[in-house]
Amino acid sequence: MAQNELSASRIEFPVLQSFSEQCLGATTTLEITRALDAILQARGIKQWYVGNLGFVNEWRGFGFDEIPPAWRKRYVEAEHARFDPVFQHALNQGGKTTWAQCKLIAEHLGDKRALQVFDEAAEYGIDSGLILPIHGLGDLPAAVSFGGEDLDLTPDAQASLYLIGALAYESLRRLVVGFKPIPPLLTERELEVLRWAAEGKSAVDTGAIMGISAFTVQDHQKSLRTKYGCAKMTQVLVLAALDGTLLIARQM
Amino acid sequence: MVHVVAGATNPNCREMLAKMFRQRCDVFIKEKGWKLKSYNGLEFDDYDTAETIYLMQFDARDNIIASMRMNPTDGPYMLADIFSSVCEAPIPRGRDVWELTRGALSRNLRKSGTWGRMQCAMLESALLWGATKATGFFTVDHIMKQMRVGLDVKPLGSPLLVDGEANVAAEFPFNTQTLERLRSSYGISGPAIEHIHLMPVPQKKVAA
Amino acid sequence: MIHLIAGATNPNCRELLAGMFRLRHDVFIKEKHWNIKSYNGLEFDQFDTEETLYLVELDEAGAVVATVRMNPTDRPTLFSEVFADMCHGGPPKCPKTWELTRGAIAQNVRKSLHFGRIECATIEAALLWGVTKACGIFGVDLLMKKMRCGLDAKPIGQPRMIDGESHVAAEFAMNGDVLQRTRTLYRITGPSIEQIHLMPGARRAA
Repeated sequence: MAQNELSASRIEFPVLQSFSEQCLGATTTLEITRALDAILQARGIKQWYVGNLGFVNEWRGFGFDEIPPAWRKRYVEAEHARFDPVFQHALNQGGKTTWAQCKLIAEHLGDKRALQVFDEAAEYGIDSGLILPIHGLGDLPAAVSFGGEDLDLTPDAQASLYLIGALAYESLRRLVVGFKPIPPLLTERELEVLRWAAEGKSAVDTGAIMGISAFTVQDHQKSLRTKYGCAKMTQVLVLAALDGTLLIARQM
Repeated sequence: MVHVVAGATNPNCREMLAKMFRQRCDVFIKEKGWKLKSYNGLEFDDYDTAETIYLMQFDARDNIIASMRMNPTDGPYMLADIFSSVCEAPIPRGRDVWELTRGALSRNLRKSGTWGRMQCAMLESALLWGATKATGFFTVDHIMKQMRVGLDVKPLGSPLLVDGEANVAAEFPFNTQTLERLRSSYGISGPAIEHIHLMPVPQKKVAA
Repeated sequence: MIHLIAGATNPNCRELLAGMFRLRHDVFIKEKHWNIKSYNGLEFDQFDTEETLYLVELDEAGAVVATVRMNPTDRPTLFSEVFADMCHGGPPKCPKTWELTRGAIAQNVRKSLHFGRIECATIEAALLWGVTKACGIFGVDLLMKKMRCGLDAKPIGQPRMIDGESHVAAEFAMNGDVLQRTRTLYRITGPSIEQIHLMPGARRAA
């Protein structure tokens, strides 16, 4: 019996294969989330999230989830997101890991508020899981999170869960966001110039704020225009607002 | 050795371009007697632009032995500008439709495999740039040859006699199957293109 | 400037190949500590053959900054010889399917958009060689990156944890549509490959 439970979270290849085909062929997000939910529920994963991360007031992007409503309500009301080590781990662009690992670190640090999140989650029957933080390619921070009761997460099971999360995220992203040019890579200085330009500051003002000459500011603006392929700064600002770069600039 | 050169004004390929314009003068004006303008022994016209893509083949001594001009048809191009009267079907247009003109082969090589390599290089370039269709005003002889080596040529109008030869506006698709057919017809196994010279990006030195 | 080189022993490209083997040594042995052999600071193995194709990207100073190795799967590959158990129903065996291995980007340019250029070059090479599919073993992170680039990743085996990362055997279709998607994403308009070095003598056909 124990042996049976031990391999319960592992997803066998035929299931993976048909899921990946469903993902690539899907025309609606519902097809993907339904298929995902069926696979996860069958493996005791009652709670899952696939999408971008951010606090409620700063949230951008897309997200799909299945979370027990009572727990969701409690999580939002208690502002758990600010203290949840799993959430913070993903937001800080950590690597793939299990909740147990995050909990271990919280215990080590003696972080009572963080441990409270784990304790409360357990009351709602969610005591174990894993997190797949997603970052890079100029994208907004995102993650896939799976949780359930007493999940058995052998390396094999983890490997298949990470893969299915990755397939789900990327195919959902394709349907929601599509294939858009990746935002250009900007230097810190360029981000700063972008930020002040968005607030309507002139090159002279920006130079004064940043402690550099107006000419240098104009150089940065020129490089921003080149990177975005625009003739005017206003066009750059529109594109930067759309691709999330402005958000990053404001958070600096 | 086949080179692909993007841009009639590509500053990195001045010498190669000059060799090609000279060859075109030799082949089209001196040999075939076409009524084209030339300048100091170089033949070029309004359709040699920064957007034009050229194929050039050189021998071991760097002499040019074959060349071809390919123009995306979202700008001005010959079939639309000059030969619109020979097209009965709608004139093909678009960034991914290339007009083929000025196919030139040195006289002593006309029976060798040189042209096969050029044809393969043409299809390879099309795949690389994402072009899906070719169009042009070809002699009927040429079209027969093209069909024999595997191109699915479709006429766009009735043939017209020009200088005693039947010519017709036609189009054919660029795709991987056609490339495969061409390669097996000519017994070529790998890519024919060896160098690709893109137009250098102006002011590339942006702080990264 | 991306070079496509046919043959690990291509006599016209000795320097480029050495630079590439050195980058592989730096990335896989020095940095990632893979347990593979190297010789005088050059990393190569039995899958670097005359039939192998390489993409080698140089920076403006002529240093190798990125590379990928491509092997037709109708010959022995890393898949067939070493990781056969990672493919459900056996490793792919087809001259039109390439195995991609030893993808490396120099540490100093890793944050730039080099990835997109080399990704486009891989598809371009496939189009030129008439190859329609690529396969390999990828970490989930890389797999996601490839999917975001426009590639349609399909797992072909059970994933497995290797060095703390979930790895899976996967295949991708290589065609003009995928190339177009990847180019859009990276704002690339023309070809990425600039020079093709065939094995001398290989093309003396017909």
